[in-house]
Amino acid sequence: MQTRSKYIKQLENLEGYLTRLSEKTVADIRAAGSALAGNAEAADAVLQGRNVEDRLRTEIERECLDIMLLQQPLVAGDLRFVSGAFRAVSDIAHIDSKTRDVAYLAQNMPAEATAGLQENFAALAERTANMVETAYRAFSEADEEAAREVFAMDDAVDELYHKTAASIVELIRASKESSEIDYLPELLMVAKYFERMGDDAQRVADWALFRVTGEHDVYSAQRKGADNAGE
Amino acid sequence: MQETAIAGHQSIVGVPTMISVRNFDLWYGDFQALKDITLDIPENRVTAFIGPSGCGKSTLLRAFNRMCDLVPSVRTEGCIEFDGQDIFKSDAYALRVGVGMVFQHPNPFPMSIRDNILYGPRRMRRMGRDEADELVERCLRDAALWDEVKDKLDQSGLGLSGGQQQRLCIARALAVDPKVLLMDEPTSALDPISTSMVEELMMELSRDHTVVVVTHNMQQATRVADKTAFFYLGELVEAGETKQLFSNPHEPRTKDYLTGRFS
Repeated sequence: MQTRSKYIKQLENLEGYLTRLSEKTVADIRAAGSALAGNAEAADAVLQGRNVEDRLRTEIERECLDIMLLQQPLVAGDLRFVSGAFRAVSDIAHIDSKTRDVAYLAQNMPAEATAGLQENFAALAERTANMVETAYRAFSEADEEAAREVFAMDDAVDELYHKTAASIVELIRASKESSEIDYLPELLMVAKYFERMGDDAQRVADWALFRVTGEHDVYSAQRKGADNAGE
Repeated sequence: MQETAIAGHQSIVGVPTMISVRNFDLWYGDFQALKDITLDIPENRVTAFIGPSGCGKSTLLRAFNRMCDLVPSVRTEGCIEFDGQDIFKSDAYALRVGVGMVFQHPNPFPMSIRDNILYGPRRMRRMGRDEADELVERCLRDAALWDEVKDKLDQSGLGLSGGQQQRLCIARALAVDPKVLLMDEPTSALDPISTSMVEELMMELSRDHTVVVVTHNMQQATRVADKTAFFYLGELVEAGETKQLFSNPHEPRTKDYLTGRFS
């Protein structure tokens, strides 16, 4: 006889909402990259997706609170899934919010503004999208190896960000007319947004580790320690 | 019958009322056990009564099928309507057919599993073998017990485990096709697995029956109940949808009880 079917249904609903929000976010990152290549429709689609994100985030938070209030998940794995989801949803929503910032900036600059940088932005968008995809898969499947993969992927995104930022700074330096640099500061911000999306994806991966191990921020702390030692 | 919303004793919006309690008082001799209770029990939902020992929750539950009549010194005032009829002006036997009861300790009759189920229906009408077989299977299936006992229907109900005995008692209560099932701490004598099964059953049964459960286990109320009523010292302090009552109780006494701050 199946027992606690209402509770199981609520957990399934929570996972379903999280999956939809993550899939939407990954699609929005790729669309933001496309918007930077001059695809106006992609920019519009990202900007119009705010209500969907708000609704999904609200549903996820409501479901987490209902499960904790009414079902009291006592099994540690369930408790970690629900409390991790309650925190990870903020990180995923932050990523989706940044895709709208990118789409807005892309919408307000001519297609030629990204000339010479399109390859970098396309790579940044794709790598960030892959990071978020992997981070959510790690959380959803409680996959520790996938979570650790996300931290390694962030190194590549950081490297590409620094390369892109250096290229933009070089373009600014080389400009003879002020009109030539109209959009370059905004493009620096766009590059930074992608780098921050990668950081948020790492936080999702941290929640995946928490789901598996019950410990949070351990890997990030270890990385910070290693980075500081290397400086 | 459409429900009436009363401040502090909220009904579930849009759900008809099966049992309506209005200004109900009950005394055991000089002791007033229930004080001016007004409450709606929604149809085909699970309603939980919670509160400390002696608060009157079991007394009200037993009043719903007039088991309180069995206590000589009992006196009542006010009104309880079941399906629109004042229960104290109805035939008690007919009332108990429509309002079944499951007790704290499983109490199968000392007879076969099959005869436990057929005991009530046989007192109401004659039945052929086929009809009886069909009824036994349906009730045991509804009580999620069929698969475990289908090969030993002629064995004594007393030979079952505690959890199985309680589900047999639920199946027996279902055999007379009640509209309401009253459960007085039905899992307090059961292990966690049997408790989960009975809780699941309460929710399943509420698709076709109105279930009222008295429980000391507040987590059980949150898991199974659509509506919860909190009693204290014979008063109904607060009632409402379970989620609202537990997440945002209106009354300080409810909040103190739920958070364990009661002195």
